[in-house]
Amino acid sequence: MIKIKFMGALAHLAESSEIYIEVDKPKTVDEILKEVIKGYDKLHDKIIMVNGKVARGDVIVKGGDEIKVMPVLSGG
Amino acid sequence: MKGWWGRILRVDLTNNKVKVQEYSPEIAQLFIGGRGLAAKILWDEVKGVDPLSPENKLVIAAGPFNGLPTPSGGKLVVAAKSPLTGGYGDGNLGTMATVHLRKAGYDVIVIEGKAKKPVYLYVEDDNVSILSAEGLWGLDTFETEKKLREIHGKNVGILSIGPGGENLVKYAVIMSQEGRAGGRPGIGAVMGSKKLKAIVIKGTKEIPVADKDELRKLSKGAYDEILSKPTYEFWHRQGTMAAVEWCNENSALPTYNFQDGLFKFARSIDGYTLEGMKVKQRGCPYCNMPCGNVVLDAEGLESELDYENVALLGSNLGIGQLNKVAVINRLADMYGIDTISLGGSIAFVMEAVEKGLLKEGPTFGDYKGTKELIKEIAFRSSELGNFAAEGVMRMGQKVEGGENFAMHVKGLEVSGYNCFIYPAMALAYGTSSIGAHHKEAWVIAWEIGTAPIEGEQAKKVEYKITYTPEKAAKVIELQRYRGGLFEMLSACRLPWIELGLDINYYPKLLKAITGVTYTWDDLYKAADRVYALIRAYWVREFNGNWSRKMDYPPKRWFIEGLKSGPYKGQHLEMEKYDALLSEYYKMRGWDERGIPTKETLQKLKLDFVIPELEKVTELH
Repeated sequence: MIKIKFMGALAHLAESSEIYIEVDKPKTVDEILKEVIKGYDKLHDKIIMVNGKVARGDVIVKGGDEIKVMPVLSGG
Repeated sequence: MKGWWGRILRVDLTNNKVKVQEYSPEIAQLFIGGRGLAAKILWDEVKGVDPLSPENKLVIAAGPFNGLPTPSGGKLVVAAKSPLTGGYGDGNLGTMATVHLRKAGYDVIVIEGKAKKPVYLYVEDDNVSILSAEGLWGLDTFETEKKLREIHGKNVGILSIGPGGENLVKYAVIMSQEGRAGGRPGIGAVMGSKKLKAIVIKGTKEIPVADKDELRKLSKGAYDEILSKPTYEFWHRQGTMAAVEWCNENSALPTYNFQDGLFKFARSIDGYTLEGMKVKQRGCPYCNMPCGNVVLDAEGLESELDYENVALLGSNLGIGQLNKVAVINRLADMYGIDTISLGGSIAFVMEAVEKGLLKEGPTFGDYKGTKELIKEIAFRSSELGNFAAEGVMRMGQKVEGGENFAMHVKGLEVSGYNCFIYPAMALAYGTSSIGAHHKEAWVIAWEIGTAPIEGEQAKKVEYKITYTPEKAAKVIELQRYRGGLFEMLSACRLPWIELGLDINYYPKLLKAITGVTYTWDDLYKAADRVYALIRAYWVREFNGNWSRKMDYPPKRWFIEGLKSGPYKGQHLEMEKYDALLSEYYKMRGWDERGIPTKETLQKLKLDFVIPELEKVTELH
């Protein structure tokens, strides 16, 4: 089971702020997020964290990991 | 010229005189418009004067995008020598006044002198009148606009000041359309010092455009692209208010006068709470991604919220109910006071009271006390109100140990990002052209997201405070786009930065409008030119008494740590910040004091600056 937390616009696109998904084999964060976030490929920027650490989309995750993904804002 | 009128409307309030001055295509091309032209005019004409004297000039500057169908191109720059900081001051606001100004046949209005009695300016194309503002003076900005619309009709653009500007509150702003504010560094006070209550503009001319078909084609492409972005829908829901959750999550939300980066009640002032309260949405002219979220406040009246207001008047004051924050925000807009500096100033008072350094005043979370104090600030009607109307820097100098918790840079209060763990963002505040404002380089998200991730071995890294030279380079890159390009075009950066609109639209649009081809290199150079000119302005106005310390962020970020959260106890280090600042200067071609070198000034075609700067300091 992998826990995914979405913030802001990404929660809107995933239609949830938090989900749990089963993975049958280790996958990259990008592969997983493509399945759950509408238009993921078209997003211009985002910050990914895995288990509280900043990570790239090509990092491989497995059951028990926690992904957090947040948008890049511009600020007021 | 196409795209530019090449015309400046000059109004002398002392002598009741109006004239039109033309400026050359060369100046237009070098400084483009908006902030660029404002900086050039202030450099040439406002030297060594008291910012609140008749000798200061109020510059209202549009750019080539304004009045034309360009994506979110409805901004207007207002500038003057700042009474808050003593240096260059400007701000921008989205307003119909920018559309009417350009359609009236001008790029810029320069107002000088001082009227004997309160007046307002009425511009209808070539007819310009200075009219009595008796009956308007003393009114808030909402009432002022209402009355002026009754006189001049609905189809006009209006800029006005409230009691804040009239009473020379050091951070009074210029307002438009009940919620649009510009000129944080006291530009509203400069307008008040001239006894100018409002500017009403009606323009009916056609702006000359180099290639109308190309402009239409490009604009349609850009507007369509904005609508197609995956994040558009969410932007429509929350606008900038999504940043409350984001900043709280990243320990960057100003809380209790920047003592912490997380707020216990963040959820009750965030974008989701806003969604439940929203009654309408407002936007700037020519914008198809409007971000003006209007709610009904705790008193049942409309208030337009965005992130900065809510961070500074909510968490930073310890007030955790959005409908109450909305009341405070509305009062600031009505009185014509900057919400960010107001939040910073009241938070300073609250902390000073809690520390026992001030005898009386509101403490954190005191909604009623805050409301009373805002009125006292706007009218300078009590000793405390008069004190807080001077801003954080001056209060910090008068309260014992005050400089340790005075949150400002160069006298301008820090906006909505707490930087205990973000050196690049602190550098952005330190080196911003007007003081601690975020608009020129919001680098914090990049700083977190790249923290630094390199190579196969480091696909996952903990966020750590680092001071790599890339951070200085990134701040400069963003300053070129945001503080340079967008401020000169006088267009909103949000389509590009929030939704990812292709940045290459901008030089193409500029070419379609003006007929002038700008490469990216030309645009970077123009941005660097304006940055160097503004820096030179500060140095001259400080009579050469300038050191790198002017670019230091507030002490608090170095001597205390975050109070809670995953980064509890962490803070910036002065020596490392100083090294980062040196990198920044090197990349900009400025010396170790933060003053552009002679060679840099020459390269940027700012030769005219050299002899004047040499009168006050030695150039390297």
